[in-house]
Amino acid sequence: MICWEQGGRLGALLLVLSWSASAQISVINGLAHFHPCGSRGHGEILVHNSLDTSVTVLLEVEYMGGSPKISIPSEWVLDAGERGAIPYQWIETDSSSQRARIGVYPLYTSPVTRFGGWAVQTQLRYVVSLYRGCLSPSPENEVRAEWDSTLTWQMVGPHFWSAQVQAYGDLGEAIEAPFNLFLAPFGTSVSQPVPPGTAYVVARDSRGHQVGCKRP
Amino acid sequence: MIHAQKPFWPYLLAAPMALSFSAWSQSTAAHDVDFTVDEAAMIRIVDANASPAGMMNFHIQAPAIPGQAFPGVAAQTAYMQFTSVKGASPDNVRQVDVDLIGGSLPSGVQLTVSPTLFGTGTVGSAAPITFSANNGTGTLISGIQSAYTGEGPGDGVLLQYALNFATQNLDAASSGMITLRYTISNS
Repeated sequence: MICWEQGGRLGALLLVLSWSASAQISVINGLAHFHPCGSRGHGEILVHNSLDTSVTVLLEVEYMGGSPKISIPSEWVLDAGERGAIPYQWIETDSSSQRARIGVYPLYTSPVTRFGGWAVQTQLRYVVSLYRGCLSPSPENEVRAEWDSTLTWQMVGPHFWSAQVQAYGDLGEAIEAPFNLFLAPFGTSVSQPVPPGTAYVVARDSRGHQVGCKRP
Repeated sequence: MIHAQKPFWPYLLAAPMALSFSAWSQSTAAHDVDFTVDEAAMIRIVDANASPAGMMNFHIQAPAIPGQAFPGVAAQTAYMQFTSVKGASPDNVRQVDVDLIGGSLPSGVQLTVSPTLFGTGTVGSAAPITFSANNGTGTLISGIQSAYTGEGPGDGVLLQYALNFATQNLDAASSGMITLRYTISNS
């Protein structure tokens, strides 16, 4: 809520940063959950209240296009020191690809109003990304990789893909540790820095599919 | 009729052996050890004393002599403390974004938040954000994996808040409320 005050202080401006960081909550089971199609259609967000007073946690769903397809409470009260499991349920559990972002933040009190200045309030928020859909059956046809100053991956098909990417040198020697890659079918791309000396990279998923890309 | 009687001594031997095996099996029994690691994301903003940050006042005062421009105001600091334990992809990298979600800065007045990273682990990389009438969002830190900043006084990502303005852009009637929202999410 934004409250504007009338008037000001002649000859001076007072900008007030009013921190509202006292409500201390944290998310302890990750900021992204992926539910492959065929798996259960529900999950939970674990939130911890580290204060010695109860806290009301607000949950706000940001739908990424389309109609609402997830059910989750909008409020959850945590007692002092409590870890709460906030359940959510995908409404449609077919094979379509879906995602939502859940904003998680504590209910905070209104800031002190000040005449003759700006009051700037600070809010802390966690966003948990939820994904549901099928893994790509043919990533060689659906995954695109482009070299620039970085390596950019993009899923051009309608599926998700999760893989480990290994960089190799000219002699086929592995360079540095492999890194994780997760691609969603919504046009978003993932850019990763490439270690020096990389001649090509190979992305492998857990089912043995591989996508290789040689440095131009 | 002769009944062959089973010899008794094998049982006498077997009894202590059974006890022995029992003891042996006790010492080598397989125990299922179940352990879980919280895939934690924890963040707070504190002052120099590691107390929840309270008020931060920028008082733009009039100059001493008529004809002078308003002098600048000193930058102020706060600390962002966080603990992050990454998980498997897609939650293997995190970032902190800041959005100006309520109110607005008058034209010509800018608020710059400049982060300086401190911490243990992969704390990522940081970039300053300048909020103005034309810009209300930015990514403060990206590439956070498993890391922690500490929770004592002076620990954490140093956040420097600097207010930039030109006298001719100031309007003392400008007053209101501005909300800065810090969001941690997976990248």
